[in-house]
Amino acid sequence: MLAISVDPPETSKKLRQDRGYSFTFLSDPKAEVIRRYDVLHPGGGPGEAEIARPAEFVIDPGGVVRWVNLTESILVRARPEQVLAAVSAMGPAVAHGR
Amino acid sequence: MKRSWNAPIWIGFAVLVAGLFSYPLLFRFPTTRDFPWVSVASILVGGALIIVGLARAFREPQRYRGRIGGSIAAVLAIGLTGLFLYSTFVGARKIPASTGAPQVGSRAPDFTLPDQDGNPVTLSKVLADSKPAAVVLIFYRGFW
Repeated sequence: MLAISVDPPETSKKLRQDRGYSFTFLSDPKAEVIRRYDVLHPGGGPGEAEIARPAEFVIDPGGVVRWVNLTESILVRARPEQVLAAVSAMGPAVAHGR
Repeated sequence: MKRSWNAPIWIGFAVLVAGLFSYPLLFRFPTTRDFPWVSVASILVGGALIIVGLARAFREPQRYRGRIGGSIAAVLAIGLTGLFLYSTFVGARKIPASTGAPQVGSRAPDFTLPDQDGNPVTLSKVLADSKPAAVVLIFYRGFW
């Protein structure tokens, strides 16, 4: 699990420690990867900062996108069970595929 | 005869305001995060109480207080409710359509970014080296 935002590594480190998250946080301060995935929200942050809109992608071991969640509201995010369902739904294809 | 305190107005106002501020507190529950059920219920209950209180203040001004204070509370309540509904249902939906985002079946664009300790992480390497069942990419707004 990789969480990506424009936050600098120090901010993510603190957030990760404060909340006890064990997954990896990646820092994209110039929003380059965020742009590459077309999930940029220009002016969405404080002081019109460029930030990422909430979005979730499930990628299989072959590097292929298997599930995408682009919310319509920043208040509504993918729930853990949705993501788990998406991962388990792709299970057989991974086992027999590539 | 001394005019009595018009409780419904103030109880209604308190219920409504408490309901609006409850939304961020209930964020950790998906049901109340996806839709502000508690806030909407408080708006309805609080609003009804304010209307009841105001109505009797104006109908029986010799018995109930609250014509001026109640009107101010009602205007405030309408303003706060409007702000809340706008930011929750309109403002929060003002996000780009992201039509160019990778779609199901397409290859996830590779990238290298520093992790929370500053160490570079490359998607293709994660896939090749740790052989996960899947990688979940979560883009989030940041600034927490």
